[in-house]
Amino acid sequence: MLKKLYKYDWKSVSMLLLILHGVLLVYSIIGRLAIAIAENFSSRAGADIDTHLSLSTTIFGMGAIAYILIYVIFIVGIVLATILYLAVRMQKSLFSDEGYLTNTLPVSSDKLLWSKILVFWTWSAIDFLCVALSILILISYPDTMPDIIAGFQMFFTSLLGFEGFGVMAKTITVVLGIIIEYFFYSTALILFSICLGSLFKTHKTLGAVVSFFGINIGQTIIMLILMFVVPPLNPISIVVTTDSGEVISSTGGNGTAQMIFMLAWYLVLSVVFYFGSRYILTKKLNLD
Amino acid sequence: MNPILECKGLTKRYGGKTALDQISFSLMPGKIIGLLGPNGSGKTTLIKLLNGLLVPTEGQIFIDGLRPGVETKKFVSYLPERTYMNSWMKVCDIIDFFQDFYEDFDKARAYDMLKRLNINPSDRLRTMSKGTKEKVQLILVMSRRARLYCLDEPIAGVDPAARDYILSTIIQNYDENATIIISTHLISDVENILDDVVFIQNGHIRMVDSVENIRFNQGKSVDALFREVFKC
Repeated sequence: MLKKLYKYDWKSVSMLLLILHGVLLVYSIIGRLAIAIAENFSSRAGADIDTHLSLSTTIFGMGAIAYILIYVIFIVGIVLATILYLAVRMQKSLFSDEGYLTNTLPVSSDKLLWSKILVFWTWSAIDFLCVALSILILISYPDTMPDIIAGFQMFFTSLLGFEGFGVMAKTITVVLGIIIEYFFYSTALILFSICLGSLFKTHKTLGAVVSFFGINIGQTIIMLILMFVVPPLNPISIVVTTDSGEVISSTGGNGTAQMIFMLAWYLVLSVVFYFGSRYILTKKLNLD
Repeated sequence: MNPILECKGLTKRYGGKTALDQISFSLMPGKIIGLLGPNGSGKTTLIKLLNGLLVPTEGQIFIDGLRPGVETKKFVSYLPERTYMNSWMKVCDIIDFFQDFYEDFDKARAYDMLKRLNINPSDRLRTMSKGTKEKVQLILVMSRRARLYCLDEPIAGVDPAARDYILSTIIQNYDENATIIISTHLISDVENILDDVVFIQNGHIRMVDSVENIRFNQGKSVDALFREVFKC
């Protein structure tokens, strides 16, 4: 049943998102072609008199600035639009008129939730890959390729432990942190906020938005308090040294401990939000 | 034999407003039952509770001895008073959707009904009129070989000709052993097809009786009795 739910949830969101991400890639390819044309034109203009060179450089320079500006807005817009669109579809599917069908299907609330979560994860991954690919299309040139390859090599040698265990552990913690915060925590929080919003008597969407920001701010405050209270997690480090650089005293937390704490914190919250959403769907569902 | 629907002290409150107040009654299977009451009497609330779309504030509700859940949703076919289909879907997509999720869905029956109504299965729902969407939804619901059909206001908001079609579709497409609960306030239109009636008012059950008894013992039509009971 989960496979079937996923299939229909995927279909209901994918048309618009495919178009949106397709446009991003086409825009990147156009940019890449424009850069190649500009380079070609500049090299030919260089052979002409100085005024031509200066004019063409100015025109292409302005064009490049406009393109980069639109590109940055586009990328930020596409990432936000993807999350927002998925959240809206999730809300509609569960708690609007469509919810009358969704919630009368002979499937458990766990499967309903997991189907939404998996679609969210799939599209978040596609979104990340498309943005990365788009940037790669624009920045990969014969003279930049060695640096790009060196960057990837450095990342993978750290991840696979060729730089030593300490570096590998840190890299894995960072990667896990990103996965847990971006995939687990964000998705579970959005889902939970939507479910909480459904409990509001009126203005359910506003309720979901308020819940989202309220919980996010609240959990950040609690996390910071905990970090300041527990010495190994303290984010502020004070190191007192002599003129010769000898350490007299040092206070503050340990970077690895902080990362592990945050990882565990977001993981626990993700689980709490998931079970909270499940509880609301099974015990508090109220479709007006 | 289990009652197909049993309510025990069932109460539903929306904030301070009580929609259903301590109602207790049971319905036996194999009948067409009219859930009759004026607007705001609690009919839709009861049907939503039966389908697990609302959670009772107090009391219990059982469908064939089970609480509303995954198991009951397998044999309850529900027609809400609103359109619940995704507008981006084609009629054939939504038929596939129903077949994927409901084991009792009869695809051939659905296509047959579509054909009789001249509805093109390749049409997208967003291109259809409200009335056609309602017909498609009724076709989907009645194409299930369910044990209990819950039809919430199936004839409200449609013209008299369409009402006749809807009622004949209901009559022709349910199994003898199945139960149909029709919620409506348009008594005269449904009276002739009902076996039993449940009168509901202000969240209270006023009467549960068979149409035959009402006609024989009280010498009145259900419509006349309804007007008398719910006189303003």
